[in-house]
This record gives sequence, structure tokens and C-alpha cells, in this order.
Amino acid sequence: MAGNKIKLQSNDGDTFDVDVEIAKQSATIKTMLEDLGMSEEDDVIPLPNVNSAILKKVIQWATHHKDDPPPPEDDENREKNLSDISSWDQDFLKVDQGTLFELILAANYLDIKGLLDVTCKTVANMIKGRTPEEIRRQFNIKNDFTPQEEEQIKKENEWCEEK
Amino acid sequence: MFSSQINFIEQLTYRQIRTQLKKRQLDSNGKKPELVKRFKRAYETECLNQSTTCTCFDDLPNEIYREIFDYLCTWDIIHSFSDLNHRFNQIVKDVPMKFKFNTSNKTKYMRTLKSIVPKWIPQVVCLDLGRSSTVDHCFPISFSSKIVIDLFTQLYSFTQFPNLRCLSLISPTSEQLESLFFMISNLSSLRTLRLIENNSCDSQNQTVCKLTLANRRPYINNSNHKHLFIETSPPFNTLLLLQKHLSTQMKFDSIQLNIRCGLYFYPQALRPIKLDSLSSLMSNFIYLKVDILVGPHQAAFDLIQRFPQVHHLSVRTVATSYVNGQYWADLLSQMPNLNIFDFDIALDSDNIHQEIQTFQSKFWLERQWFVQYRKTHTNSQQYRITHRHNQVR
Repeated sequence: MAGNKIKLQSNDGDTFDVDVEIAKQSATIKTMLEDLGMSEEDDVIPLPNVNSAILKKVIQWATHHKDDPPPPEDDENREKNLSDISSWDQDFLKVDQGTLFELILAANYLDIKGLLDVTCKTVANMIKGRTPEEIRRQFNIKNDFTPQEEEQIKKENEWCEEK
Repeated sequence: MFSSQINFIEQLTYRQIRTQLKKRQLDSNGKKPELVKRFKRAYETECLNQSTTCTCFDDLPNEIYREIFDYLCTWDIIHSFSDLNHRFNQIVKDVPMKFKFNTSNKTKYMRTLKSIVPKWIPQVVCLDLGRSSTVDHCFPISFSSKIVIDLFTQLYSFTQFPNLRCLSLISPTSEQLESLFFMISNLSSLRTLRLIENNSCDSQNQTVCKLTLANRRPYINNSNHKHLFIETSPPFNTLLLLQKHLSTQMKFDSIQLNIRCGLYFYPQALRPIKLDSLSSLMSNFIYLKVDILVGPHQAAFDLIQRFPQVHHLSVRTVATSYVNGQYWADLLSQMPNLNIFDFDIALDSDNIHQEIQTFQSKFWLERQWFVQYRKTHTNSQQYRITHRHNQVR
């Protein structure tokens, strides 16, 4: 294995050479390398939950953000801001819904806090201010309530309509 | 024949492309590189399409919904997700709720208090009660912040919320604060208390006192500890009240005090506060932050000298009278526990070298404290200096 690079293998068999420092933005990979005793000499790090197209995008994101300061710790007192997404990230996340959700799952599995934050923020922006019907349409969510249940819930939540 | 093969590639499925790729890489017919390249492009597109068709919002695990909901206000979560389907109904019932009551509609507020809040009591982790003075001025006095808090406390006691971690009261009265301080030791989950007073003398909505039990300071290792965070300005009414009640009601693991003021106008403002009577609060007092807008340095130094035990001192000012390394060295040498000193000051670039030299004495060099210059605006000709203890400890 070359110098300070490691090989990451997607679940469909493709391998990607990545700088160790870039790969270490993933706490999962960092743990594999540091705590579990894996070394750069090991052949490849298998990532069974990420396909190659998504892994390629994750590497692209991590490469762009390699010099970012570490994201702040979550603070329950701090109000999270929906609007502070950089223009690069906005362009990067102009993808179809499926890819966006795959990126969220990959960020969660690889434990890349910055990517998880920005992807979740993007989805929250898609949700904010929408009615249940709009959300159901937008995300193709099936309504499994019986008409009676639906009536009851609507009655309970009618205060929302006047919000 | 080769051309028809290429057209055929566009019709292949993900699995077929993989098979074809493997097959072609083994098959050397002279045109392999071009074909393989084309296959690979089709393969990547197919992979992306496959992920698109496979992963839906519904496929995300519940932990991800919680991450997403963290960016939404409680009203949006309840409003948008309560009647989507059974799964989301259940998820919403498990999400920590942060209620912010700053409405101007008394009828709606009462209806919410009576019919909505009871359903979410175990989930409430944050309560934010009251409205800023700017908002208050737009509405009749009959529905001020005082009324918002009173109406809430007439129906509920804060002790009814077993998971309440953050409580924020805007413009509480002394009576409301006193009743809160009497019960505060019973709020076992509480980690943050914010008390915000609007300054009635100021037309702006200026926060004159904010008090928080903060638990996220970087030097705090145990997040279960209770930490007091006070942000205050003269005349320190809430600090006086705190001295009177809170010191006997609750113990803190560490205390952070932020003072925001123009000491020029209030040089004696902290004098009435007897720090000795705050001893149980102050014994673990570790962080002092002073934002000084204007005024002579001596007033601020008198203030800082009252807190010699702090571990971390942060001072921000725009007053050039503070830029003297010798003055600071004399002050800081009387603070034996200090290991972080952030000094943030805007300087005129014309005098920068002369002023910086005063921070290059033996005192500063021995401690390996360093100076950072940061030009804040290209045209402002101002620099910012920060002194920070060498982080390598």
C-alpha cells in the first residue's frame, strides 16, 4: 500500500485509494485504523454498507472538507440553524432523494458528523412548514391509518391548523 | 457490430453490466478499453439509479429521524408528522420536545397549555417561556412575559416535567424567580437555566442577565455535572437574587460568569454583591468572561481581581487602554489557577508593534503564551490580538 493512503472497498467490490487523513474524517474508519490495530499495510478496509457510487460521493465530500475544523459538539442548549449550509455543500447535495438518503445512511454508518449534519439539515429544510399531506406526497409515505383513526388524529391536532 | 454493442450497453441492468464488465476485461479484442470505459460509465449511472429507486425516506432508521427533527421546532414536528402513519406517530411520541411559548394570542396559548402540553409532559426537555420586550411593546400589557409565565405556572409546576433539562424564562419578575429558586433543587434533570431580563431603560431588546447551568464547557469531562453559567450586566439584579436564594438551594460543579457591560457607566456596579455569601457557588468558580464595551481598564481590573481563583479568563474589548502587557502581567500573576487567558481586542494597526512589545516581557515568555493577529476587515485597519495559553500541556 502506498505511503499514507488506504484502500476502501465498497459493497459492490470497487476499491478506492484515499488519503488516510481524509478517510479519518470517518470515526468508523479512524477507529478501525487506530483502536482495532488495522494498519495501512492491510489490504483493504471493507465497507459493506456503502455502494461504490455513494462511497465515491462521500470521498468527494471528505476531500473538499479535509481542512475543516472539527465540528462542534452537540449542545442541547444551542438552537440548530437550518440556513448555514455552504454553497459548495448545497451544490454537492443537489441530488435525487434516493442519493440524499443513501448519503445520510453512509454518513451515519461511517460516523462522519459533518456530512450527517449537512444532509439531515437538507432534509429538515425539505420538511419545514409542510403539511402532513405535502410530506406524504413529497416522500411517498403510505398512510396506514383507518378512516376512524385518521379522523381522531385530525381532531386531536386541529390546533395545528391555526398555527 | 461494435456500435450496436455500445447502444446495447444503455439498456443493460446493473447486474448485466457487472457481468459484461468482467467478461470484457477477460476478452481482448483490441477495442476493449473504449468499451470498458463505456461500460463503467453506464455501470456508475446504473448504481446511482439503483440507489435512487431503492432508498426512500421510509427506509431511514428512527435514529436518523431524530437527527432531522433536531433541526425542526416542536410545532413543526407535531404538525407535520403526527398523522402521517403509525410508524411516524410512534416516533413523534419518543422525540424529546422543546416547547417555545412566545405567542401573542392568549386564547391559543391557553388552549395549547390545556390540551397539547398534557400529552407531551414526559417528553418535554426544554421549556422557553416569555417574550422579548420588543415583542411585548407591540401587544397589550395584559399579555406580557409575566402573564405568559404566570399562566403556565398556574397550570403546571416545573417539577411535573421529569425530563426537563433546559428552562428559559424571559423577563421573569422577582416573585417568579423566587418561586423558581425555591423549587430548583427538586428539578433533578435540569442542566440549563436561562434567565433573561429585558432592560427597560434601553429601547433595544438588550439581554441584561442570562443565567445558564451549562454542561458543555470543553474542560468539563463529566457531562452529568451541573454547571452554572451566568451572563449578566449591571445592575446585576438577578445575580443579587441568586445570591439571596440559590446559593442555599443548589450546588454546582463549576461556574461560568459572563459580564457584559460598559464599565465606564457602571464602575461600582458589582460592589453590592457580596461574593463571600456566594461561597458555596463560587468555590468551584472556574471561568470568567468579561465583554467591556468602553471604560478605563482599572474598573475592569478591579472587577477581575474579585475572582482570583478562575482557571479560564476571557476578556473582549475595543478600548485601547487595555493594551498594556505590564498591567495584565501584574493582574494575572495574582491568579494562581489561571491556565487559559483569551484577550481579544481590536487595535489600530499604526501602533501595533509598540503595543505588542509590552506583551513580550519575561512574564509572557516564561508562560509560553502566544499572540495571534487577525486582520478582521481589509479596510478597517484593525487587528485582533488573542493571548492563549500554549495548548500543549
